[in-house]
Amino acid sequence: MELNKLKKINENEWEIPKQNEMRVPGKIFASKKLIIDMDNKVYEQVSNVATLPGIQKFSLAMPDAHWGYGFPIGGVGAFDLNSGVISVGGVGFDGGCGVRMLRTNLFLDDVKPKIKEIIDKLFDIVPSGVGIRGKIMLSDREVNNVLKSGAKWAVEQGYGDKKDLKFIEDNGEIKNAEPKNVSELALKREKKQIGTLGSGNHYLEIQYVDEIFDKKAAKIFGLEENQIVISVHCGSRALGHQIGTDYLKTLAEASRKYNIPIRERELVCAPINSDEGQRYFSAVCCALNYAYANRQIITNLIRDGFEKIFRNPKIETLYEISHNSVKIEEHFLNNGNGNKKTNLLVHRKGATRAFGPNHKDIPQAYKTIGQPVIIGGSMGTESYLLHGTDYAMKNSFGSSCHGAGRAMSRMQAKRQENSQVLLQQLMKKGIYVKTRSISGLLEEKPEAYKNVSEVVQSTHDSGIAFKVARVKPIGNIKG
Amino acid sequence: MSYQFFEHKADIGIKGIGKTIAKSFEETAKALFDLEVDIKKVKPQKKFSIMAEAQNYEELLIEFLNALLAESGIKEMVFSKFLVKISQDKRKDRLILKANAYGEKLNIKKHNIGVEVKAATYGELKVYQDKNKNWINQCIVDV
Repeated sequence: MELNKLKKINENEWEIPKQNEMRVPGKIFASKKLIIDMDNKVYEQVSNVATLPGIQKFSLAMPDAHWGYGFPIGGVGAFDLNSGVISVGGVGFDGGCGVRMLRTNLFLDDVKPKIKEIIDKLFDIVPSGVGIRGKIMLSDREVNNVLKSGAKWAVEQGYGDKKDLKFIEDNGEIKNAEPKNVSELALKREKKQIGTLGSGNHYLEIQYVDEIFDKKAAKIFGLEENQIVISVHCGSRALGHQIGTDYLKTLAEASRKYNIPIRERELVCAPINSDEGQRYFSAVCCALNYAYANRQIITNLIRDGFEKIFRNPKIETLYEISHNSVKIEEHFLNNGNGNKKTNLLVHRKGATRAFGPNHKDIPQAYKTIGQPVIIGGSMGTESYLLHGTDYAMKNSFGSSCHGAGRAMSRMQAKRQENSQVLLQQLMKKGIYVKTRSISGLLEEKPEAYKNVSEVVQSTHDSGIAFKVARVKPIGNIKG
Repeated sequence: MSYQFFEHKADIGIKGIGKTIAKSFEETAKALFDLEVDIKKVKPQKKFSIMAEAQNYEELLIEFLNALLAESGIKEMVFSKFLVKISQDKRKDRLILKANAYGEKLNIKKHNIGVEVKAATYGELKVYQDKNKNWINQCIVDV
């Protein structure tokens, strides 16, 4: 991206000045280096989002931003509930996609010698890859309950325990979900997919705490050096893909009906208060609940797997975040209204919530430090745990980055080497990887992604989330 | 005639080229399933009928590809051969696509699985004729 098109706010914040039809300015959180490497499409898409009716304060992009569908990946937009719109582009085709981090009572020395054994076991019991089915067949009535109650439904069925729910966004059950607004086709595609990982960049990874940056916060999150954690990255499966596809069409018609000028097809939207807007919102909340339930069931499978290999393992949910979502949240606008909080509709497409200390929506145990922010690297590289900040509440609608972001296209990644060589290279680095898709493996290789450490450092330096710990992988199941 | 893939930063583009619009759609459908499996290994044993309609060729392509994805998911099938017919409805304001898709049950061991496609999107969506009168269509798919 060209620097001269931007107004520098500080070392890690850059403004796209309000111009033409933009209703608010754009703002990109990133270091100078990340900005220079960022594609121009991000500039265009942030500017496009800024033209949408009812957008508040600024259209945002996070340090890992890249070209997306309507919104950039790494895009955040908050809208007034009366005059604003809701857009499929602000959520994407995998509503509720996110990461859960599990904390264990095991350490590197316990797990490293058995890494092959445990990964092979988990590979057998956690279904992954194209078209894979799980073991749970939901009846029509049960599907409704999943879509309405999310992870709470899963716990009620005996998958995991109640304590897990306290450590999931929305306590694993987002309100506003209305299953009748999910199409028959989406429900049909769901069949036996609950409790499955999916494919692409989705993964299950066994990691150890490699470095702690903030001792106090790490203690609050229950982490110490060399402790084993497990991360699960997955979403709402075909049900969520179909909800995206269905409502792209509905909102395309709505944009014409309500005369909303659209700069890019994927940015189609409907007024939040319209019938179409409300239906989409309630359907996407169903996708979020499905994803919460999905990760809850996978957590339970992971516990089963660990119990077969280790003696008395204790596996607790550290936290779970969604990085494709649209939610009603309270934020300060400071638009001459003093310090009054206002309810806004916040879209996060490839961006993570980063609520600061004492926010009412974060677990009691973490109140003093802020919400855990889980940033996944790519297969074979480190991941990070950060915490949300007051600065994020004031400057990014409580949002942060979500991952490394791709640096190389899938085609480029596939051309360069063969998958067996890659598996061996990873093995040499001490990472045992298992997958059903050998071609997909190359697409997800470490070099195909931006340097996650740079993205996280820029996030930290900007103040929207602060580093707590770095974790490194020892075993990975690639979806 | 043929299908191709093209670069996109996060996802991937698929492109079909054919003598007619219908043939070009058949090629793009092959590209779609070639991402999920190795279609050379998929026998066109079983036939499924697909329908789609839209106001223009661009939207028709997306409707068609997404209908194929849904059918493939529901029936747990993968497809490797397609026969497409495109016509206008009586009032001539909508395009109707009728297709047969041929394939077999997804077999993880046999089909060399690749990456699951979440959706065909409006990203880089184009349908046009080149100077040799070949039809070309393309879009980005979210994987």
